[in-house]
Amino acid sequence: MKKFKYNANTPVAVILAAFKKKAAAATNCDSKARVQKSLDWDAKFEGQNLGEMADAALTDPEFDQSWELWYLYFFGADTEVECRKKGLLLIKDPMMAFQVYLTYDWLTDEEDKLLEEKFKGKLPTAEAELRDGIVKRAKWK
Amino acid sequence: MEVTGWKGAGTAVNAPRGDKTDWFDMNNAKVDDNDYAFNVPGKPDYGDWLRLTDFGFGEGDIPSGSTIDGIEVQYKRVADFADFINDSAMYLRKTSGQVGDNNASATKWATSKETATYGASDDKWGTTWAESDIVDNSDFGIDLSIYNSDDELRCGWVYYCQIRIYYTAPAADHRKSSFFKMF
Repeated sequence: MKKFKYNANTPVAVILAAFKKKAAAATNCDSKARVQKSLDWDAKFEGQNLGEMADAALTDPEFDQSWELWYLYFFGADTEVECRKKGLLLIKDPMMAFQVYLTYDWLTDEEDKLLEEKFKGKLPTAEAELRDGIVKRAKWK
Repeated sequence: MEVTGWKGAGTAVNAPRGDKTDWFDMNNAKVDDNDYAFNVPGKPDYGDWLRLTDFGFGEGDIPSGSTIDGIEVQYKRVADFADFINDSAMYLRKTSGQVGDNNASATKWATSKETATYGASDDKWGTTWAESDIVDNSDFGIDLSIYNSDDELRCGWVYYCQIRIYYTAPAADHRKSSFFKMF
């Protein structure tokens, strides 16, 4: 059984430290500003854990769903599934959910269902492309 | 069923989609040449709307009393890198705003100029269309937002967008025609 590096009890400070390294690598002005905005939001939860931060994000209008995409991109594969599911709930945009569904081969069947609920019936062209094999899922390759 | 010629937009603007990245040089998407409008979405994220309206369909294109059967849209476009840029959302517009289906494709944009076609002769994009939604209506148009799936900044360019309308013209009034034929 896979041992995950991050879970709901992981201190936000640990994630923040890892994130700051990524942010330091940002070279474009626009990207730096956007990364900083997410770091500022995360910093509000520095004394708390990842699960608590995800719960707060669900109801905070200041939280930008694209920040969850960054999290999944950098830490998704190393995050315990129950904690990751909390994160998937933060994604509202159908195409964002669809792209996560296509991209990551580590998604569980339960996570697949969570994502499918966000895009099924809302992206007729993209869904037909998946059905017809024009776009493919990493998980099915 | 008949079809109009392809028409380009008369108006091009950047419309905010939350706090996202702007389109630049929007007016370049109105003319079919080698200049382009472009957006550099966040990483990974979607960008603002490229809003193209005022396609200039008049009664000369779609006769009064016609039924709208379908709408077809083409984008000439390119991405700066392969495998990262695709549509995020695409909606046709009436005077009321965005309508119908989100016809965004998940296919990644190519790195050489390509023409992507959306809709078909029988595709009304999940809504109903009155002639007045399109004919002599400068609000008729299309919104496109693009998505970057990479963790580096990537760029999508739109060279041109054109639309054509499939319609069924009203049946001729035979009584009237016969009457005039007598004189």
